[in-house]
Amino acid sequence: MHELSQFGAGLLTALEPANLLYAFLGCVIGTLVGVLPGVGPVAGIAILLPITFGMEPSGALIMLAAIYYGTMYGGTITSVLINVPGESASVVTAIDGYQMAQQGKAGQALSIAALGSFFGGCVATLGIVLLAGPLSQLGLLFGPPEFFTLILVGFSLLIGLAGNSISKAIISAVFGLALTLPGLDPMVGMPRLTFDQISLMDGFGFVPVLMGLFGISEILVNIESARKTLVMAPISSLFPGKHELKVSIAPVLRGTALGFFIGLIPGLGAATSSFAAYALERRVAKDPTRFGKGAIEGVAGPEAANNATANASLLPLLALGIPGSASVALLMGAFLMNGITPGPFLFRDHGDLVWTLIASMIVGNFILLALNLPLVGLWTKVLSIPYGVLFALIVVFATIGSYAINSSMIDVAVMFAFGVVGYVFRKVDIPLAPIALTLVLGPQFEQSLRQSLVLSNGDIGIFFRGPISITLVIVAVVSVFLSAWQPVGKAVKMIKEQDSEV
Amino acid sequence: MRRTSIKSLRVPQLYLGVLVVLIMLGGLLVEQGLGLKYYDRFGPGAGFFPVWIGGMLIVVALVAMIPTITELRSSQALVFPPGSSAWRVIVMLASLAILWWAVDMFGFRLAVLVYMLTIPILIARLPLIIIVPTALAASFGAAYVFETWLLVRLPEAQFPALAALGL
Repeated sequence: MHELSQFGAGLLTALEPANLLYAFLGCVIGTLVGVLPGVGPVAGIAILLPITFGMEPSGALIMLAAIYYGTMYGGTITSVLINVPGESASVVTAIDGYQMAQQGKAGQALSIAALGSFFGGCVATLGIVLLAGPLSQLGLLFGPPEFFTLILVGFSLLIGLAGNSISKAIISAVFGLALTLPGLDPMVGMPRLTFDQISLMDGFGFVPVLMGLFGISEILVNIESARKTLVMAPISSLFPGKHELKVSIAPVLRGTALGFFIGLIPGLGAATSSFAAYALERRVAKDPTRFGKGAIEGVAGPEAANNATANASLLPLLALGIPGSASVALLMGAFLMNGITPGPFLFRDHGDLVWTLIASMIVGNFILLALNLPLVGLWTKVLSIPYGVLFALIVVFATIGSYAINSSMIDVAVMFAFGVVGYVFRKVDIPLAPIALTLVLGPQFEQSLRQSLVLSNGDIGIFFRGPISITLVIVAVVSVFLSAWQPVGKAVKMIKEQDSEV
Repeated sequence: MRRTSIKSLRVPQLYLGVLVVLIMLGGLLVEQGLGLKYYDRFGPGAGFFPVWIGGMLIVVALVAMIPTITELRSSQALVFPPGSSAWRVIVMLASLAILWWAVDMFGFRLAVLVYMLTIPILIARLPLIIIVPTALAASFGAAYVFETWLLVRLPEAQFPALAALGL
């Protein structure tokens, strides 16, 4: 197949020393971000994004992608050893993983988690290889009405599943859209809502806004209480037994399949897939009472699922230009900053780069497997850094990151201001993930809406005429309806007790 | 009227304040949007989206206000529950504002050095043996790495005497 030969060429490029180094650095940083409670993948990528400005686009994207899926591995370590998930997708791993650690099986839990993550990540990447071509061909059939309705599907799914209150999720999403309004009008290019301020001519940069909303606000939340000393479970053997391996095979396969399909749907994220995989394993288990007491299936399935989702969620971004989560939205920003527009023409215009990126994801999963198991002791040492120093260092790096975009202290001020906004939103339980998605997709959303109405001379029937757009409209309506339907809403709320994708 | 200190501030009260701000923001967007072209013969104008987004923000915030006003009496959830300190947050916020001003005035190196020497002491009461090397690394060390290796230019001091010293 054509895609396989291109993937092969990409793999050869990904194995070049420079690209291997970028992948390695990204995996190390990603694992570190995942290990550190309080610094999620969104904040981590946002803070490190400006560092890649001076790099080649391929190296920058390889490193940032590796940071993204690397956090899924890192978050598991603290979930298992100290019952503190490093990021939201590892929350469910703590349920049985920590119990296994308490029973002296920390090494087995970590190794099964790493193997499951590796399998899920690799299979999902191979899925991208097979589906990227057909999906981008489908994307070529997309016009403004189809893009508008596709983004609408993403918004409707995200609103339905983000946080515990639909009204707060809608507020968050609309607030994010409002942030995209200042600046130059996307169609006619005239200043809009700039209040005669030159600094607003380019609008609010999404990097300082997201760094503030996710990074600075997280620091403010964590600084409220004095940090307790973390008691870590001891690690004995890192090799799983034959029984653990045998019992884990089916959950890993199920988790991978479930996680891959969830990753294809914009708005759901790795946290959703890990919870869904856990619920699935409990349902199919012969003795569900074992769950919550150290059942290996409760670690294997969710870990395979969250990594499969993390990798698979890059497919809608690459093939259609639609980011599926806040983290992927930042990766989209990285593409745009390097002058590359994700979407149906990406494989045609930048095929070499994209296939190298996809191939580097396979390489990255190998690197992460090697990093996480033997070096788990090193990662846990990171947790002994005093929190007062850690917070201050994050602020310093965030300041550098914000300033570096335009060499402007205004961006730093924007970051700090949105840090306060994010902190207040967290206090009143307004989810932040919808803001990230609407902030990045807002301009495209507005442009495709207005272009559609120009094409149809103001007739909104244009969204109901094409087969793709009418299908997407139906999906959006059904997802909103399902979210509003109480029994389904309650089940989803039970699954998603944590915010998605911080 | 009963005075509300920051420690007794309840979540519904804060949420109500947020909703009021969002309604005001929505009103601003609508007002600004109506001052632009809403629609012309070519299609939606620059004011189209601001009017709709502003309107949606107002509507959703007003709808959310109804249960929140009910919760004002029933919910006792505190913004700062026992065990959490509002003052630590205020200190952190003040430090961010001062850091921003100091970086702009005195340059990255000096401002971050002072920041890293004071904040870990204030927040975490750490000993100087940890703080001093960390502060030097985070200020001068990070500046060297970012400017020399990563080609990221960092803010310089506005005072010529300090700028001449490379600060």
